[in-house]
Amino acid sequence: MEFWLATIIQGLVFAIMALGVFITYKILDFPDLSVEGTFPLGASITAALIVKGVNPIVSIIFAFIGGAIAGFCTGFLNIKMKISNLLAGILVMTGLYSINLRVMGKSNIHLFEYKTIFDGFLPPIALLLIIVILIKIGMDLLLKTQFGVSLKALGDNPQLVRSLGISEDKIKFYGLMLSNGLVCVSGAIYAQMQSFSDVGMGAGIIVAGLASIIFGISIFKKIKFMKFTTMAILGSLLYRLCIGVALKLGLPAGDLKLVTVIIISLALGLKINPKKFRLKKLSFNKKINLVSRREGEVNA
Amino acid sequence: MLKINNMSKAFLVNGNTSKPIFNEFNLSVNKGDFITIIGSNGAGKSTLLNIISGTVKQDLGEIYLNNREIGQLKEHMRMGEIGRVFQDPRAGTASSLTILENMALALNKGQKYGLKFNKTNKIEEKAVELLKILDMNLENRLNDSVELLSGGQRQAMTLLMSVAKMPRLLLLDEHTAALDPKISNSILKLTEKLIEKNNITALMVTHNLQDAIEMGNRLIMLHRGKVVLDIKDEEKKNMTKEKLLDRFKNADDMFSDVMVLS
Repeated sequence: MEFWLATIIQGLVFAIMALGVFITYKILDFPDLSVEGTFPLGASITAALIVKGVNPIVSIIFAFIGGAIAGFCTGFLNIKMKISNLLAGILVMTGLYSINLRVMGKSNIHLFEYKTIFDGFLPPIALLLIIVILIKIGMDLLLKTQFGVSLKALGDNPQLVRSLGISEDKIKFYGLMLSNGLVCVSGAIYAQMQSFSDVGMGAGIIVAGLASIIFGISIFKKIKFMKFTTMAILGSLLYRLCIGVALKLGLPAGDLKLVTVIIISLALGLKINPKKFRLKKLSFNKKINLVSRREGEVNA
Repeated sequence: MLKINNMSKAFLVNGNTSKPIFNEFNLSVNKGDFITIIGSNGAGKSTLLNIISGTVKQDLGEIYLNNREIGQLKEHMRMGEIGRVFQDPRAGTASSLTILENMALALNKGQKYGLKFNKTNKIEEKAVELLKILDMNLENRLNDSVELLSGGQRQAMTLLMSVAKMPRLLLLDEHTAALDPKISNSILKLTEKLIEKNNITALMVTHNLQDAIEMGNRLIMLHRGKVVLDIKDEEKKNMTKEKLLDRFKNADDMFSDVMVLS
């Protein structure tokens, strides 16, 4: 029982990260690899601050700001310096490794003897549920504002956004900052939960985030009126449960990443394939349309 | 209203040879003008609209909109006063958003976008009022995703969105070329109606000679980056397709086949 409770708690912590990745991957259509660096950045910031005696909640706010700055850097590389989005993410992720070491001063910090947000009167799962639901509601509201709708429109159709007189760059900057801020918060909470922060804890985070989103969307997309944010959170929980099952079945922990990658590849290749088939059909129809239109023109 | 002074633009082909499109191009558009633009392929019709809207930047020259130099502004900074409809029906709307969200985006144009809610009751009322003009029953499908609409419906909506905030200038870039003839016709009628009703200054690029002659109060023909024909009002009213073709009989590369056959 305790094992599954821990799995759900992990799922909730990573759900915050999945919500962040959701903004870049799903809304902005920007594969942002910098999250591999911002997740441990959050852990580093919170650990370093807590050791210095800062309130754990305040340290999470600082983690958000740190993540936003990292997101700004990715945006700067991509938007202002015209570096491709993948490479911009990789550069920031790599750079953050050194920064994380600097922030912590060493490669890992233990927080066992310090107070964290989990030392309050609420049980961890209740606390995390409240945090995740608050963030989800906040994001849902944000996506209904003028900013949020322009964000969605930008991922869809950048030309439209420019035509509406909205600065594409600004919206992208804000989106990246928000996304990385959330990932950083997730990392900070994770570190406080484990009472441990390590500079290498970001490895594979992007894959976990993508897996959550892809899981969530492919399983729940048939359900009407379910919001994408809900799907991302449920996807994160499901993903952790799957990993839990795999561990229970005796799979060595080291193999998990490979298994995840195979599952994602299959999910992307097969599950989203209807789109591919549709595309083929579409292009075929288009040709017919074009031909008939041309004939129409000649006849007219 | 719109003034283009000594504008030059060349594109690099294959990285080293430069292909001039415009050389010291001048155009002056009066307020309330509805200009149709025709010309052969590569005459610079679309490039002209791209330069006005800032998608492509000119090499030299100035562009004035209402006595304000906009030639150096970024695209999003000048589009506040310009509406634009593209040939591709998908280019003017965001497919994953609902009809209402798209309309709200257009109705909020020019405002400082921020954390205010995108759709308020006021916006919804206005959107319904506008969508009723289309007579496509879209006002009852406000929460449908735009993805579900046909090309014609999307183009009609794009047109509506581009004039929702009364732009000073409307740019139409072969906006009916991707539609079938029947829908294309109704979109053109709608275009005329919206432009006349709101007294909008408009530039419309078209491949269809007949439309170019019938619509608007001024016709411009571009050829190799130059205005080779510029007729207005009375003269334009008396113009027919045959006269036009006759006038340029000797220059056979001036009309593309599509134009002659349409």
